[in-house]
Amino acid sequence: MTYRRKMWALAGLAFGVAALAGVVIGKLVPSTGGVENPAVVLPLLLIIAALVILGAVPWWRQTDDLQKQGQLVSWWWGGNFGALAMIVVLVAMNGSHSEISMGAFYLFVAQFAGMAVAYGIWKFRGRGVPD
Amino acid sequence: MKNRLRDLRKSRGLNQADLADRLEISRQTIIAIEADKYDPSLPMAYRLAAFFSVPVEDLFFNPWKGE
Repeated sequence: MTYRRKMWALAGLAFGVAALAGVVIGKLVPSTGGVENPAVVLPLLLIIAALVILGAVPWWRQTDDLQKQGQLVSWWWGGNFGALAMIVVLVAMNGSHSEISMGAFYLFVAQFAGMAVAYGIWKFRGRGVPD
Repeated sequence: MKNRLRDLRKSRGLNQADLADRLEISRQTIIAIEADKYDPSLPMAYRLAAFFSVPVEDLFFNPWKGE
């Protein structure tokens, strides 16, 4: 199998796992209101979220320098700007404390927290021995 | 970083896609390195040099040498 085909196959696996997770989550979570038994469903949903990330690991490991740099630059600059722009739009159109604005805000905070944790791990793993 | 990747690749009769497949990297990476649009990591530079059996500095020109 050529590298290109392998990359498409691994990307397909990552998207397939994400799509499957979307279907399962859609079945577990009601369209409005929270779940009836969050103590059981919430950990299950977090496990599913972890599986989505794990599904992308083979693809990520197979990417080369340039592809990794492209993904990192795009997610950092494009992802952050996109999220900020959407928050601004939602706040302007729905009010700063509307449910949808707060939801977007929580998502952005979670994204920032995840980034901070990942950055800390990256820095810890990359440390050397000082003189 | 200026380099001789294109010359070495052509001397082996490989196109960009062939070389990318042999090294298990993307064709885009080969194109970007050849066009001096992207500086590869040290491991990738060594990998490319090893593939062509040349020292790294015969493949990538050291811009700081002779300063």
